[in-house]
Amino acid sequence: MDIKEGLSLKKHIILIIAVLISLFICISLGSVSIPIKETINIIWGLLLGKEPYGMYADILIHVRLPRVLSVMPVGAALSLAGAAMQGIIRNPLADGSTLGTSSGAALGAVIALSLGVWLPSFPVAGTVVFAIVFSFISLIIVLSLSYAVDKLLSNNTIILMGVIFSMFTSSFISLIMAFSGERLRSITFWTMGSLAGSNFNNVLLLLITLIIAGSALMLNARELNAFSLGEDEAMHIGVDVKKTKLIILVSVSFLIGVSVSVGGSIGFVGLIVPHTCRLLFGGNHFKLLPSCVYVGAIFLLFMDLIARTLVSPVELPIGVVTSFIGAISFVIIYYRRRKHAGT
Amino acid sequence: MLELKNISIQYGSKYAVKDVSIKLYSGDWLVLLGANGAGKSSIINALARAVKYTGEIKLEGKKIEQYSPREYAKRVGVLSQLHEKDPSLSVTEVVSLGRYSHSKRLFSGLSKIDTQKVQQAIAVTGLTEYAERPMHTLSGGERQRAYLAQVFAQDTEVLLLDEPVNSLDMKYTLSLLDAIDIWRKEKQGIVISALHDLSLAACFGSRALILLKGEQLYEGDIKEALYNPKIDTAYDLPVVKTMQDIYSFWDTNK
Repeated sequence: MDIKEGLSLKKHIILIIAVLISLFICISLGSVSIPIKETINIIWGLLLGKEPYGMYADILIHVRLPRVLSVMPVGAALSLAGAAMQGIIRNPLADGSTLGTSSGAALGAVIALSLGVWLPSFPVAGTVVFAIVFSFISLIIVLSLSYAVDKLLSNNTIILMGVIFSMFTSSFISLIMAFSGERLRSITFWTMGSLAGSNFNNVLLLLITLIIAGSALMLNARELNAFSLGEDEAMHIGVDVKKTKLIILVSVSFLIGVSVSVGGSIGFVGLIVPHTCRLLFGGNHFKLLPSCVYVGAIFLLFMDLIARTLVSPVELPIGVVTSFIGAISFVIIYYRRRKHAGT
Repeated sequence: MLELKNISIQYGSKYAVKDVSIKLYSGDWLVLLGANGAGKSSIINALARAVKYTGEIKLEGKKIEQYSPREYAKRVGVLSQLHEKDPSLSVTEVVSLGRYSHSKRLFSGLSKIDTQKVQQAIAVTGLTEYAERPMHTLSGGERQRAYLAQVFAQDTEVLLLDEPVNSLDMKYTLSLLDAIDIWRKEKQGIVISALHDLSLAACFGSRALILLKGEQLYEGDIKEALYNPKIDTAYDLPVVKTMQDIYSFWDTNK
């Protein structure tokens, strides 16, 4: 008998089909509903290299498609980042939002926006770079402060530090906003999270980040499994602990930094999705990481759909929707953990 | 051969271990003896490369710092006290991690040899029927056996035991130590253990190192060590008499 660790081919196929079905549903629905048949015709035409025309085609190709195509990698990236962070610090409540990484990235983006840092041919470059660097710095600050207080890095300490750090960065963001004058509108955007107005450049940037950082994490899936035994135990079986941590923290910073710079802070995705995947597919990172990519994409597609349609024609920021659902899930996970482990 | 030369370990200004030297050969089972805080765990941690020390530790003539993490893990395995938290992995997945240092695969899956070693380790520790069970559904004794299976799968020459039978009941304690003893004899491996129970130390150990506040009081054969007056100093009570008193119940009720 062979020992297999990854997702079976059957599960991959089922999940890919689920992603495609969700994609179709989400590009058809919105303030203007496009019939499924029409959607299929337009997409088919697009795939055959034709230029479909008409109102439906315009909405679909120029508004909805770039949007859902950025929503999917953002969902995947945030979920992957959450799963990896939870693995490395052995804490199921770790996530970009609970560790202050997302707000750190947002602070970076806001600073870049208010200073007007950008490159001529690539307007988002300034915010992207700032967001990545700031998310990395935030991770290091929160983790080292937590470690200084509590060597065991228990739930309570890390989350408390994360919350305090988030408040600290939020106050900075408010301060910058107070002085930003006419840039206020675009900055407000970052603090709430929205993927309206995404373009194909963003899609490309997100996909490249997802592929590179995602591969780096997948190549460390075995190390992440080892970390789930404990850091010392990982070292005892031969894991280069420092190197692994660095690779994972840098990958996570890239994933969160790029997601935040494109979509603003979208909270709790990295908490809900990995938790669900762990229940569905188990805690082995060879299964957890790929399933997070699929489920994260599907999850955020529907969150975005809710944001677009719930009180249409007014659009809710997607971060508001995920935070609403995420906060409730957080309480449930925390409660269940305390009941089980007492930590 | 494993050689410790003038090992000292300091936490802040306080010495946890001071100037300990010992040479160990294939097939030795060294028991570290001493009261709480005598430095037993610190020595194990130094050998596991988990704490800084001064002095020199050589494995097969090479300083242990010179091994890469993987190369060292191929030679030295560690079994610690049972953790409170457990990974959401199955027994097979935990045992498979023991092959980490041997595996060259980038992505998932194990080679034929790795698979064989994992299944062997699971069989030897009597876990075959639990192989696919998630760790958190097992009892403490079964989980600790899974961690032992992981160390066996790691296929090392040296095994470090840091109070591995704490919190285990008598049956699991004996079956765990028996399995380790069989491994030691077959593989001619070196075992270094911190064990609280002196009777167990006498049963399984071959050599002893008595420690008092980090200093080496005695080093030599285990049976001699247990009757040496220095052990009374180390534990601050008459050891032989105390043990005979405690266990006298069993003699008189034959």
